[in-house]
Amino acid sequence: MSLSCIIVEDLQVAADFLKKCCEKSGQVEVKAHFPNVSDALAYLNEHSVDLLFLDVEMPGATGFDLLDQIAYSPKVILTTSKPEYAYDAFEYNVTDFLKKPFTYQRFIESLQKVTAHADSTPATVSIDHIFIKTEGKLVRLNNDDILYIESMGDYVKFVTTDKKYVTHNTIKNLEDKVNKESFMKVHRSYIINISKIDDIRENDLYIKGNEIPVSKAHKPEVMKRLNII
Amino acid sequence: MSFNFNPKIDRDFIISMYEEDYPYISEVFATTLGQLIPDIEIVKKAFTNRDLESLRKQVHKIKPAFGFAGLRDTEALCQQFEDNCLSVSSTEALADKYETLIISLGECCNIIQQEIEKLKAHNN
Repeated sequence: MSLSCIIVEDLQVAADFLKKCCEKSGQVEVKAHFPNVSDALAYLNEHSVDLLFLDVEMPGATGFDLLDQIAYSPKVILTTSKPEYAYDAFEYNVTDFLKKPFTYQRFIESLQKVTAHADSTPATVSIDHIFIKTEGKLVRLNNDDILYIESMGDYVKFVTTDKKYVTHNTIKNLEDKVNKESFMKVHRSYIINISKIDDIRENDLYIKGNEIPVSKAHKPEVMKRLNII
Repeated sequence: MSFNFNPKIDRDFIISMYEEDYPYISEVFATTLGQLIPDIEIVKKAFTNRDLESLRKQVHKIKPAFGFAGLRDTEALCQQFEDNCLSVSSTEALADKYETLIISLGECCNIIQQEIEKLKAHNN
C-alpha cells in the first residue's frame, strides 16, 4: 500500500466501486469518502493525502472549487461523466480523467499514470522556491527569503526576511515538500532554513532574534547539519 | 454459474465491470436503486419548480448510476436530456422529452428491483 487517497463523489455506487478498485489494486488506501466539497475541504485542512478521486459536479461547490481552496497539491484523478471537463482538467494539471462508469482496467491505467507522474516529477532538492496559497492568490517565496515555518493549528506561518504569510497547511505535509537541502524540521511545530541559524543555546536556536525550540529527537540531526569546526 | 440479466441490461458491460461477482453486482444494484429513488424525486421536483439548471444537474448526477447498472440506453437518454437542457431556455420546452425520460427512469427502477430479487435467488 503506497498511496493514501480520499474519494470526493456524490454518487454512492461510483464511490463504492472506486473503493473496491482501490482495495483490489493493493496500491491505494482509501482514508475517507465525502459526498461534497465542504466536508472534503475540512478533512484536507487537517490531513494530507497523496491522491484525490474527485467528481466535478456535486451539490454546492464543484471539484474545481476544492482544487482552488486546498493549500497543497496532491495528485488528482477526476471522476465525472462529462468529458467536456477535460479542458478544465488539463488547466488544473490533473493526472487523469475517469469517465463514469469505468472499468477496473481503466482505473489501473489511471493509477499507472499517477505513479509514472510521481516518478517523473523533479526531486524537490532542485527547486529554489515554493508557491503558497494565501489571501486568494499564489505567492512565490524564494527559499533564501524564508527564515522558518511555524505551525498554527490548521495553519502554518511562513516567516520571511520582511513579511509573514499564513496559509492552510501542516508541518507534516510541508516536511516532504520543502527543499531538504535548505530546510529541516527541528520540532513538531517548526521547520527552519538551516542557513539562517544565528546561534544555538541548549534546546533553542535563534534566527533573526526569534527563539525556536529544538526537540530532543531532532537535536542530533540539527547538530549534524551544522558546519561545526 | 452464469446469470440471465434482463435484456435491457448490457451483460457484456456488466461483466467487464464486475466480472462474474454476482454478490457484488447485487450490491451495486441495491446501492443504485437506493440512491435513484430519492434522486428521481428531485428530478421531478426540479421540473415542477421549472428550475432548468437544477433539472440538468440532477439528470447529470443520476446518469452514470444507470451506466453502473448496465442500463446504457437510459444512460444515453439522460445524456441527451442533459444536452437538451442546455439548448432551451425553459423547462416547458422539454415537456415531451421529460415525459419520455421519467417513464424510462421508472422502468429502469423496476428492472433493477427485479434483478435484485433474481440475484438474491441466484446467489443463495
